[in-house]
Amino acid sequence: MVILEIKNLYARVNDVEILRGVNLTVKSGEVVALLGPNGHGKSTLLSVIMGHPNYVVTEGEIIYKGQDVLTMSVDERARAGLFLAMQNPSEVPGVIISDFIRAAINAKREKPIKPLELFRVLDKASKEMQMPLDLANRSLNEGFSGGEKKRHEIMQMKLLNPEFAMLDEIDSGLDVDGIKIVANQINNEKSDKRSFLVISHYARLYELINPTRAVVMINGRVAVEGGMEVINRIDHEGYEWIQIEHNISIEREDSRPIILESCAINESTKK
Amino acid sequence: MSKFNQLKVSEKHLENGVLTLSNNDVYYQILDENNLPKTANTITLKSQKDIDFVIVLRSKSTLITYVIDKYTRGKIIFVCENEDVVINREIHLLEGVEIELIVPDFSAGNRKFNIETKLLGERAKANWHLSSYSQNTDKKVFKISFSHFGAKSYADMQNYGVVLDQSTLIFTGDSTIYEEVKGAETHQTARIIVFDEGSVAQADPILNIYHNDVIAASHAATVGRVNAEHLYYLNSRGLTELEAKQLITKGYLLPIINFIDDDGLKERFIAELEGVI
Repeated sequence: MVILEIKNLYARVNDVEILRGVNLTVKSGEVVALLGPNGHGKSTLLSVIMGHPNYVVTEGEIIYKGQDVLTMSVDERARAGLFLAMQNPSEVPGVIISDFIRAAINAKREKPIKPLELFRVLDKASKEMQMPLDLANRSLNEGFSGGEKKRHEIMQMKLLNPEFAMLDEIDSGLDVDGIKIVANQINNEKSDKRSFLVISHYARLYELINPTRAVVMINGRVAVEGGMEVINRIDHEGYEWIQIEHNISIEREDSRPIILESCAINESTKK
Repeated sequence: MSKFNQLKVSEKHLENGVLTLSNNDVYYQILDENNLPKTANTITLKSQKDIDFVIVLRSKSTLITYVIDKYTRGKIIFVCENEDVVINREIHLLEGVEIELIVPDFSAGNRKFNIETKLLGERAKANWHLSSYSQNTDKKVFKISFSHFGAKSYADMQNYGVVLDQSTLIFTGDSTIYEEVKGAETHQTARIIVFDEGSVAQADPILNIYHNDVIAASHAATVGRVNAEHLYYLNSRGLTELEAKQLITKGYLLPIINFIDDDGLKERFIAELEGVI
């Protein structure tokens, strides 16, 4: 059964067109690896699906379980079963994790979770993620290391039971043990009722979670689809072969218009 | 359960307009300014052990001065009820005083506060924490001053606020180190989150330094809308805009209870804020 369908999607941020005609279909139970060079739209695609306010969709549609996602607010999307483990989760000072998790769990329930049950699920999830339980009394992501933030994202995924989970570079900032823990938990959460869309630059994570198929985004659209062999080839050879074999010219990041956040870096590396 | 009890003020405390409260009078006691004798314009607090004291502020037309006696330590929590509160207060800190001044202001009504803390004695030390929630048509105006007269005195002022609807919230922080006051240190921070178009928020930090031998002096002030990334993150976990704002408000204003020891009081302030957001 198709759970998510993206048709001819165009989106821009700060007047720069990042997505230029994305077509992608994901079925229930699939684990889709999303690859591509930096700046070619992977993270943007995930942010647009989740509804980040900075991105403006100019054309196309996203259908999730028959619903038009683009007309839904961010929280409606989350309650409908979409989840995004973010690349750089916000630090929200003062917001206590247990309060936040309780509110997030209650958002999907008719009856609010009882304190004892909340404690139990937090305790269980903390143990599985190998994070200390007293973390729940800390401010959301504040003072967390890169690895802790990523583990905490997966912990939230486990607690919120999404049907469509998007993971944006969940392995960056994790040490070897951290990657194993996260990969194990992703594998535990796999089911024929849940789909994953997973961005990573490294074959290591993909080898551990064993995706159903791979999708490569280039120049703001899906350029290549395949299996594990695509991931391995990119891991060994990079993206150059796609230019030759698929006759696509990969636009370099610095040849494209500069967006505000990255201009300082791009300017300094320009020759 | 709170260990605090209502303090019964008797004439024996009063002499020449000075009300003296000592030891058990300032330990787990609540002083309601409505119960002050009419002639009392100065209240002296002193204790061997750390004081833990609540003062219910009430509108008065006259100046009332709280004097914290030499080497007295501890905390004073100032509270308001759901009413307009217009006050003019001085807090005098004598030599060696170390005091936490805590003002969780989550109740409704207008506020016009003019509170000047005078650090009179050497090494007097004060930490000020104010958290204010302003909504509907509340007009809350706080002028909080710290005046350093004692050498090596120290003050740190933290004013936090959340402002909604058609309400007003103004923090004026005034820190002054006078001439010939050596080795003083003074800091102030004001932060306000503005939720609505019609709200008025203002933070005016003022630092007056009249002496060149100071340890440090600083001020910081931010007034801004709620961070869009924070809101997005909370929304992406299924929280509605309202739920996210409530959580952010609590995160902004409730850390003040970390300075309070008594569990009953903590619960009271949490319930008070949860009741209004």
